[in-house]
Amino acid sequence: MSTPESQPTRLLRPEVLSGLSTLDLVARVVVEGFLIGMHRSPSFGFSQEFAEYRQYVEGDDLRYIDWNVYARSERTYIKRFLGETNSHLVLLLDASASMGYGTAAVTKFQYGQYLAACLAYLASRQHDAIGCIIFDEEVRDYRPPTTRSGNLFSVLHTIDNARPAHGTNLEKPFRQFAGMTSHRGMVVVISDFYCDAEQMIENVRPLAFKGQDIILFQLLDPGEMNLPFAEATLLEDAETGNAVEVSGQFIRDGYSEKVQQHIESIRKAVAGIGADHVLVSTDEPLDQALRNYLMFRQRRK
Amino acid sequence: MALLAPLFLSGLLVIALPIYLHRLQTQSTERKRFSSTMLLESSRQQVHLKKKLRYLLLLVLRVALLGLLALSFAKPVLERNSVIELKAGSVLHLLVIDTSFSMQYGNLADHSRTEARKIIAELPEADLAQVLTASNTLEVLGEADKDHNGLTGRINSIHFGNGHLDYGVMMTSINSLIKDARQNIHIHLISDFQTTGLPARFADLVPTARGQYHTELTPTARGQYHTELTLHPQTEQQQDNLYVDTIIPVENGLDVGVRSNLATATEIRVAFKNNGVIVQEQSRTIESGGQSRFMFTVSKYEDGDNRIEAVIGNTDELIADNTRYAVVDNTPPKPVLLLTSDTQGLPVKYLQTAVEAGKSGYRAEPVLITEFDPRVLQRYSWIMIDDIGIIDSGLATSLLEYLQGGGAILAASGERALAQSQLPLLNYPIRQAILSANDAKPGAVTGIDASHPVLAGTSGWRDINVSRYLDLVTDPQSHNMVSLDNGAALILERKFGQGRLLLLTSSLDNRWNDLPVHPVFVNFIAEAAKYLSGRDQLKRSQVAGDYLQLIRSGTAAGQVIAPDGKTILSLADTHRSQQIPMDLPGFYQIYTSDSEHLIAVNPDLRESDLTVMPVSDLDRWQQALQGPAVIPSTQVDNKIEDDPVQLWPILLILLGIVVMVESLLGNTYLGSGRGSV
Repeated sequence: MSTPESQPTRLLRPEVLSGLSTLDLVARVVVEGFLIGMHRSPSFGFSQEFAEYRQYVEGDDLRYIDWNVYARSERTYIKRFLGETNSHLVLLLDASASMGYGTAAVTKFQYGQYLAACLAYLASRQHDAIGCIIFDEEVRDYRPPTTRSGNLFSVLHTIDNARPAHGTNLEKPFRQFAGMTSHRGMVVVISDFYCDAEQMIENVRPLAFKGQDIILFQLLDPGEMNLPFAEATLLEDAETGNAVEVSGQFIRDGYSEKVQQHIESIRKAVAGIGADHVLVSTDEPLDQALRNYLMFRQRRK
Repeated sequence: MALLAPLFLSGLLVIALPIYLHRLQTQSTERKRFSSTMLLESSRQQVHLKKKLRYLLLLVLRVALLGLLALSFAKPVLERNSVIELKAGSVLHLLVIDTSFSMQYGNLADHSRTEARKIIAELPEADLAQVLTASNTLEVLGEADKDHNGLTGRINSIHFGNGHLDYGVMMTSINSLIKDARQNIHIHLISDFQTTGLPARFADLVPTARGQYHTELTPTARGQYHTELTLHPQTEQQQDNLYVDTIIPVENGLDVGVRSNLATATEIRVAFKNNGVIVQEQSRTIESGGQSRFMFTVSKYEDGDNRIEAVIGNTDELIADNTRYAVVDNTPPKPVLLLTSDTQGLPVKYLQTAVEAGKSGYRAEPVLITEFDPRVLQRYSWIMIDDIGIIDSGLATSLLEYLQGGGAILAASGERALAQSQLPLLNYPIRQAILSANDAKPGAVTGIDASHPVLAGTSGWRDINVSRYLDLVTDPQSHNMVSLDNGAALILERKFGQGRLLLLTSSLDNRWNDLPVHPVFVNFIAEAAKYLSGRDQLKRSQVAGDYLQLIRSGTAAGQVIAPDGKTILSLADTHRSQQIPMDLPGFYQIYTSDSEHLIAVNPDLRESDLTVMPVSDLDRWQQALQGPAVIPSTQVDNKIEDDPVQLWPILLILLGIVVMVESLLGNTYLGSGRGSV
């Protein structure tokens, strides 16, 4: 029999999740298991902590009027809690062809789908408005953030329907996103970020200036961290189809260093605009990514 | 080398397998799909090119392996065609000597032998020679030989016959004889070169070019075997000759034609002999190159075959054609049974007259059905019935046994058949007696099976009008020989085992149709007599060199005696040979189980015309070879072929080398393949 400690971890492993039938189920299993594993109330961060007073306006619920304040000051104020200060969460999922690569149990794209679904589910429990953008070199699908009933499933359906193809162009989705929303909120970008760090930041920067809280999940396959070849090999780019012959020496020595440099450049660029960067390997459980998200959200509050 | 051998072709198909597999392998392993090449650096060395070359080399080796294996099934040989100095006997001399009837003229036969011996004597020692005789057929006397004595012996033994030589047929035979010979050939033709022996087309006289003697490996050395023709005419001008060219028995006489090629008008004496006895003699002067007819009167021929001879009393250099032979058949006709209910009826009269007029060698013998004893049936090879309706059931049984035993019946229909519902013997239901669709317009004959032996030699069927006939429900075993315009049979044939029955569905009087009064009726009865009796008419006059087919003389067994009195076919031999050559002029006697016949054999008349070809024609013939002239072997740089070299040992060695290299390369390649994944 599994221990309470071990059960959630097992459930969060990608190879286990790949056996679940729907993204909705994946999200529920992951989030509930994750929360149980944290030994915290499922209503963590939800509507219990006082946030602020606001003057009563016509239409507000009378139950939330702080009568003590009215007794002292003869003014009607509404007492607001933390959970009621809803935020927007927009998930940007990269569905380019490079995301279809995978040497582990799941591809990067599948991992990204799980992660996006879990974040959407978690945000939904916190009554956040959820939206999503599926993009490659174009914006393929878009769900604006809303708290309407059934929105979660709409978002999960959109994520589930996406398939990795084409190249990557971060400029278009970010520009479209900037044009769509005026609300401040959280933006989660899930991608492998096979792009120039500086160019990518140029696209993200306007959002940061508008006050959006941005977290970038960089998904990499273990095979991308360390190439699984011993000898010189002809490798074909999944997005462009171009072939590059790499020597054995580069595979052994040069590649890992270049990957680390790239990750570091992304990390530095992201830090430069005040956003968060989380590197995730697709053979790791999802809980680390979720924990990073919650900490990120906590910080933003 | 059998490049079209099925195994070789299937082997070639197998080569597609490694090509296909390499293609698959190349596509699956050559490029590895990766997420992004953004962080990759291109190698300075094009390793994959080396790999690709190694792949190609491996592919070539595997294809070569299978190709060599497949090639070994094609039994490859290398035909060596290097230039080799002429070996001894590389030219074959064919001495073709004309032995036709005309060569009996004077001393032509001896001159021909002398000429042949002279050619043999002058042959280079290295050359081979072969002796052939040409008449009706081309005969080869022994193998090619260098022994001059042996060759001379063969020449001396040549017999000059009575056949006819057609130079076109002779050259065709020579062509087929030499077409596969891998030697230069020199044809020497020794003949009197009669104009009558020339073919219709001059091209038929020319020996055809023969196969190339070098393979494609050395195109520069290609060429053909040489064939040369040298004509050796034994006479240069037309010879004098007298001969009987026709002998035609006519009514109460004999018409004899005599032709003279003598230089001057000459009185010719001709004797007519019957059975060896001179019956009459006549003399007449015939101009040079003219012909004269001698009419002899004959009061009476003896019964059976008569030996008729027309003999010229004058002598000339070709004496054998001064006598011509003929046979006059005076055999009394054989009786053929005619079953009838009225011996004085019209059908009997018509049939009797037709049988007699047809000169089929039979006479109708009418017998009343009421007086007929079926036991005598076996005496007749065939019988006639004027109305098939007169047959009762008892007689029908006897007739059926007669038919099954090989007998034959010619039957007609009539009023008695009309009264029955089913036709006797055949048991065909009689649907009705049809009057022609319109009485005013009688039915006409529209369908005639001209391939049937009875109808092949007849004509005039379409002139017949049929006003009534029996509409029969026939079976598939019956065959309509003559049909009416509505498709109904007028004459049909039904076979019973070895026997056969011809049925006229109309009557043989002139009430149901007008067939008996048409000339075609006589021809029909005569042909039917030959067909039903199983006896084809023997051709009584033949040309020397023809073959006698015993089966056509009406029996499969017999004895044949040649004009010189020798038995050339005994009864014991007949089961071995049915074709008897008739080479001698005179009378051949043929004895069969129930008959004795004579056949007159004469030399071909064309052989008696001794006009020779002009010298210019002979020169043209000699020079019209389709290949280059033969080069005398004494000065030759001719080329001949050696035996082809078998390539299989070389193939085996190559196969072994390819297997080893392929294994080494394959192992290396597979080893690196494992490491890369």
